[in-house]
Amino acid sequence: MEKRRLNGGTAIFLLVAVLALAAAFVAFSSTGPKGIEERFEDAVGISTEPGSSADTENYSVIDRTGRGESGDGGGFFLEGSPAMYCLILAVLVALCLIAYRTYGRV
Amino acid sequence: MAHIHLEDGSFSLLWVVTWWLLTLLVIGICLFLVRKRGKEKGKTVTIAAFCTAAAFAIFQISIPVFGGIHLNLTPLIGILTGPFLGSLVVLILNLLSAAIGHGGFGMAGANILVNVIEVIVAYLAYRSMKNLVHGGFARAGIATFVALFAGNAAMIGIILVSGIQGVSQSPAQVMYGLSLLAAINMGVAVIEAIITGFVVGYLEKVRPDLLGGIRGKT
Repeated sequence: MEKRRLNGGTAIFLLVAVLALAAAFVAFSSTGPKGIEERFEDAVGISTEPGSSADTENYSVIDRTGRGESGDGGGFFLEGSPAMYCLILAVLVALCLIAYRTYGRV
Repeated sequence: MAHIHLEDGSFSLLWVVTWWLLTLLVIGICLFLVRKRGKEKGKTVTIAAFCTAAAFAIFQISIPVFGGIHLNLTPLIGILTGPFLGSLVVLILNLLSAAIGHGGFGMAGANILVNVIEVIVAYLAYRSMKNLVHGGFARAGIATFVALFAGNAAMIGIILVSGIQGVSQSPAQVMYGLSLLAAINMGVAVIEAIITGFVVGYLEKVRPDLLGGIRGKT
């Protein structure tokens, strides 16, 4: 009975995953490869036509999204300021250590 | 994972204030309920701290899937810390993200609401499937799908209700564009569901006591 339940749960998970991937591929084929910000701007109709002032502003966004470039990180990149990211992450890690020492082991 | 990637100024001031007030109300209720339930167990606070750090670390990194996506682990936060403490975690997460330039402070109110919905729905879905689906991986994975679907629906709803300033598209056109975006987000949800499923499945085997959420039940 337990095994049947387990298989049922995994089967539902796999079915949902396949359906989600299929929907995503259909949507992706109609929109094409775009970065997160660019995809959002296109979805809501914010202009990014070539030559427009908005386009000039958005080049930084397009560059950050990694569209059309391999990049040093193989397409991975950091959103926002790297220096602030490292600083805040260091503070969070320090706070985790303090919480770990104060509240005891997890 | 569902996150409104629009710059400050996309929503009118009225809607920015409205979403922020709603967010503050929700966070206030969460704070009240956390205090009412008494002092948090030490391990729950520690888990919440670790969730905040891990989610912050991964949330800022764009992954080259479907042109560029990012994960935020909100369903995992909901399952591990519960809906109330989890809501406080996503508040901190969004404020810190805005602080480094990933999203604006004006949009943070709406984004916190979307993430709070993901946290709460993940927690409820995971708990409600306790007797229906056996196995932490499948249960957490399905809960993640449900939560991220709800988050995407909330994101679309917020954008449609608010409207985008300076855009001439009709609501139907915006709805169509956002539906495609949500469909791609749900494809990305597969990655998040697998990660959440593996983490929860592993914890369920080695430390089932950690999956108690705010009430400390398993």
